Amino acid sequence: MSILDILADNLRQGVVTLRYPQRVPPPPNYRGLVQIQSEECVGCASCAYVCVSAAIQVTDQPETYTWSYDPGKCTFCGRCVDACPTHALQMQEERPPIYHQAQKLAVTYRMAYPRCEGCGKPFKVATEILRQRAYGELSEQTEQLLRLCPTCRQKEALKLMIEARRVKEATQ
Amino acid sequence: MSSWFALLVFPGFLYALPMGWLMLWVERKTLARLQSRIGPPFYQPLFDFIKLMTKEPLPRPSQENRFYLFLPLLALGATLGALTLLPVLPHSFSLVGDLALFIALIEIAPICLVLLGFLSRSIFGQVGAVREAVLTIASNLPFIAALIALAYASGSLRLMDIALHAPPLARGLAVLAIFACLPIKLRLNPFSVANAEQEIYQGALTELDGWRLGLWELNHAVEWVALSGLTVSLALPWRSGLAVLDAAIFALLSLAVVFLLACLAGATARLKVGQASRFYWRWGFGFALLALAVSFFPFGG
Repeated sequence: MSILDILADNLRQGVVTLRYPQRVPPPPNYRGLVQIQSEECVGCASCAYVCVSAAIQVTDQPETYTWSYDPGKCTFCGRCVDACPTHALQMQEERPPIYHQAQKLAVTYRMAYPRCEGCGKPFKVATEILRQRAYGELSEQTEQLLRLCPTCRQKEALKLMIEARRVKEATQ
Repeated sequence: MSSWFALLVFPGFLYALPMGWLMLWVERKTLARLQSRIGPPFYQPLFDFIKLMTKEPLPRPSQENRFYLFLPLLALGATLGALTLLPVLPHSFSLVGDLALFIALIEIAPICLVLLGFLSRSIFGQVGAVREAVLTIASNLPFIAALIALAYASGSLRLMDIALHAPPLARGLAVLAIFACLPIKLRLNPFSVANAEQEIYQGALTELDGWRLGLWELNHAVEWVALSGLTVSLALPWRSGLAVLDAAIFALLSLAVVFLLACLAGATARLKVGQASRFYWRWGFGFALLALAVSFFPFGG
């Protein structure tokens, strides 16, 4: 096809660009705004670690942590989504809204660490997905242990071991 | 009419500024339509100019600053001066030998551009400056040869005499040769080698910012008016004598030249510097030689 044919086609076809604020619909698998499902998040901050433009930041407090995201800084590379071990992050498949103010789309989530069922102290818990990936199917007893903080879990596990040994000795 | 009218009103400052911006717009709009885009609104070049002039430029050493102000202003002044000499209105201001003055003035802007490129101490600026220098020489060969052919054929060095009295065959060939030089002088595709945006970041303009770039862009707009105006005024042997009508015809035909150049730019891709200069040495100069031959040995005339 010669350039003249292409130009003639272009002239025949007319204008294909849209006038602002009309927009072309996004293609499939479009990488839009990053969204978090806070119940899946464990506060590991892998997303903030891999974020090249520092659009995601995770700050740690004793009982809570905050996850903040500024789309104005985001390059929509999707590395945070890949790095998230619990699949808590996703990218919207639609275009971000048009905005005129800096920080307008920025979001901050403050999330509390779950509390230990034994002592009540906040601690970083392993979610269902992580537990399954690490241990496969778990017994009810192990599930219960994982809802405790590391200190209580050690104590409880020790108690269980002593109990098991006692039962073993009694049966012999 | 006085030289002040020619310099400040028509075809000088008052006409050249809006016309230059209009020409920049016609070029951009035509290109956009050829590429199925909407293109900018007609006031966009003016807004671009205002934006550039009001931007805070990067701080530079004072010596460099002086040159960055001086060179674009010199180029702008010279191009406006060249514009003043265009033989548009039959009773307008003209000088004996204004053809030589016109050539001298219209060549000042490319020289300023080469100097700006070397001054920038940027590798892109220097490459752009070298390319601009090579191509200026290559394009001036047919450009000046065609003007000499016209001058010889009409027996005068006065632009108005040339415009009114050049014989048709020599005029046709020479105007074609001059038209062929316009893409390189206006740095348009396929000869936009010196200011290639993608390869060398606008070449010699790479370090220009804010009002420095604004002044240069203004000069570029005036260059459009001067060079398309030269082609039109030399191509047209007839003047109505009515100033407004002559000016209107001149403006419309100038815009048509801009449209043609934009179509050419839209239909071609950028050549290499060697290819571009070879084109002018071979074909441009060939045309101009033909014009020279015709003017020296007028067939049937």
